[in-house]
Amino acid sequence: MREDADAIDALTLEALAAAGDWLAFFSAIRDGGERLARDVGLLSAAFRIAGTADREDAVLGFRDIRVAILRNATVEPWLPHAFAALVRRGLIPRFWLGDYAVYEGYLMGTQPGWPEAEPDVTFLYLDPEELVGDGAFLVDAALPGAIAERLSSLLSLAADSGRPTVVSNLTPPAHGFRTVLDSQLRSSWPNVRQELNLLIVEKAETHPSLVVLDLDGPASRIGASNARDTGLYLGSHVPFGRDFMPVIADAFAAVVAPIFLPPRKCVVVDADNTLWGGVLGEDGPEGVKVGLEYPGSLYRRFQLFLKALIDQGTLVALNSKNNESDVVDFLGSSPDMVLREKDFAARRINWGDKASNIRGLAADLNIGLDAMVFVDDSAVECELVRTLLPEVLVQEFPTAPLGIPDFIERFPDVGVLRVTAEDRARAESIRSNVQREKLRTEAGDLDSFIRSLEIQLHIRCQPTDLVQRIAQLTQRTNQFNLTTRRYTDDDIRSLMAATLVVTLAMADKFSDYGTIGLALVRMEGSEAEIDTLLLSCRAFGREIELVFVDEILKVLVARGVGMVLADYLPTGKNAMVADFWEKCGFERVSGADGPVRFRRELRDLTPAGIASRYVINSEGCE
Amino acid sequence: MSQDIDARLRGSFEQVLGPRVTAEVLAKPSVGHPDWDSVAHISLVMAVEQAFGVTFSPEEAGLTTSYEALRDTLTRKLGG
Repeated sequence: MREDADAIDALTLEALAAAGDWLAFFSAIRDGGERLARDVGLLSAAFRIAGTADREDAVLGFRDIRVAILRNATVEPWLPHAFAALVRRGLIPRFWLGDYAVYEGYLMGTQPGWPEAEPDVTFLYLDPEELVGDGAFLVDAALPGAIAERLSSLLSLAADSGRPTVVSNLTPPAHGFRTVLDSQLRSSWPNVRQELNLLIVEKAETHPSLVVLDLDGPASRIGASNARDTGLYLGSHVPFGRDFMPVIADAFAAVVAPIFLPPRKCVVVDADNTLWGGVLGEDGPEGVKVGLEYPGSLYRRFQLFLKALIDQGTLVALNSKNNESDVVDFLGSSPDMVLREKDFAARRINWGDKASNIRGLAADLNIGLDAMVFVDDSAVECELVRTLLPEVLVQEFPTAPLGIPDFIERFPDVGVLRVTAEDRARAESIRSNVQREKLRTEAGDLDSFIRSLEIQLHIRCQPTDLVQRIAQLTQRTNQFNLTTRRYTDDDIRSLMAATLVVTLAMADKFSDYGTIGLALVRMEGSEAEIDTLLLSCRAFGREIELVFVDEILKVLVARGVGMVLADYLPTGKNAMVADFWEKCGFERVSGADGPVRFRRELRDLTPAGIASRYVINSEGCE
Repeated sequence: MSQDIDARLRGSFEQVLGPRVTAEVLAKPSVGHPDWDSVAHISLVMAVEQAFGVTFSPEEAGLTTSYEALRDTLTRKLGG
């Protein structure tokens, strides 16, 4: 976080709230910097003002979420920290707290008082000392089994609740093993705690709605006796130490944000003093620092971090002021580099300004600037990009190598909670685009070009094994998205039972793209309404969208539908599809500016002439 | 110094409890306030600790449930 240039105070926040200027209010909190994140009084003021406000409308650029917290400790003093951490990520939380130490009752619906407005996410805070009780002191062979059984049952109830549940793992005790004998025993509490943490992870791996909040790691790093203040805990049952509260708040926001917001898709990195220590053009390949020895080991660690991001489906692009041939040669020849030329989805290595290069990279990769993070060690370059490209998230890389591990730990906005096979294949398919572009030039006209790709389309109806991918598509697709409705995994499971769900997968002679299109269609008798139609940007330029709609209409006709309604809901990003329904033969029935409704009768359905360009097969649509 | 402590302490009260409740608290500084409950008290004590660079023990935190009591304990801790 940067130090805020214009410090905010409680009076300013009160004034903004009184004036109803909620955009300025929440923007001030979001941009409040390190000072706001650590100022207990100011955080309390911000939280109090937001909580007592009579605000009904959404705030542009933010999303409201309802968070239910089940707890066995006094977490209230932590809430202002959690509030600010979530606002920094574009989420505005309203918290509801369950009664002290009541879990099963709420999860099973037998405890009264559950909020009428269903929460969007539940946070299950399990205080380890409350959980273990006297077992923290008395070694009991039956202890591990007893607690594990209760914990397992609780997690199963949470998983069955049908909403995302964040579960904290168990922090280390402020005081460890009492005796050397205890340290030898599996059933002593410090060892039992570690087994329970593994149980939590195992449960989350098999139950996609459970998300683990790691408190154990941060508590170990800050020190267990700092993570828990004995006076605060024993006096007031406040489970977190003063210095630990902002740490947990950040960790909590980091796992909650991916549930509701798409992560940034691409990290754009500088090369000199970022991927390696030193300047390649001046120090030469033998003089730059990257490898197993300090300080090169720290730059190598950053490359390993980027490699891990690539493995989870995030793109990494290179933006460097260098001679391109020098960098390409070094990427190929250095034995110590982790990243190679093939790992970068795109690159701009030249002497032009970095903002223009980033615009170029966004065009090359067909993604928005707001999907990008820029990393550079130069304060000047960072400020240039912040000024000219405010949508890009800028992270200034530390000039001192020892700052790199902290930089990695605090790296924002690219966290994902689940990785699908399509995610991992994405970078490879984008690199294949280079070859495709070559073909385009050689093929001449569009029809010949598309035929030369040998595209295969696979249509599936009610694909219950694709719930995660479907939800991900609704959350991440912005441009070719007619209604931009966002759905979670659980939403999609519910929709599968009551709605026609049609997916489109695509492969060509270069790549298998996986599932890249989706339609959700509500049917009632002889009428249908298309709730969602979207196409991943990977599918652009092949006109398959017209064929996809044709196939959907064929399914509807086979099911007795004679008339279809569809909407175009304009956003700042989907102007490209404003006339799409008309291209598909729909008639506009209402709306001029703003939301537009279309309609099509399904008599005399004739297939689009272009269908012969593709090999089309379907599954489950009969 | 005493005036400075009062001004800064009032600032912490206003941040945590809000201007209206703070004014009511200051009107009757020797008693508590319905909106100044045990949970708000924890946040208030933590805000005062940070603002003044002091730490209250659980016993001190438990006894400082009026403005006067909090100010007197704070003044003692600051060496006043």
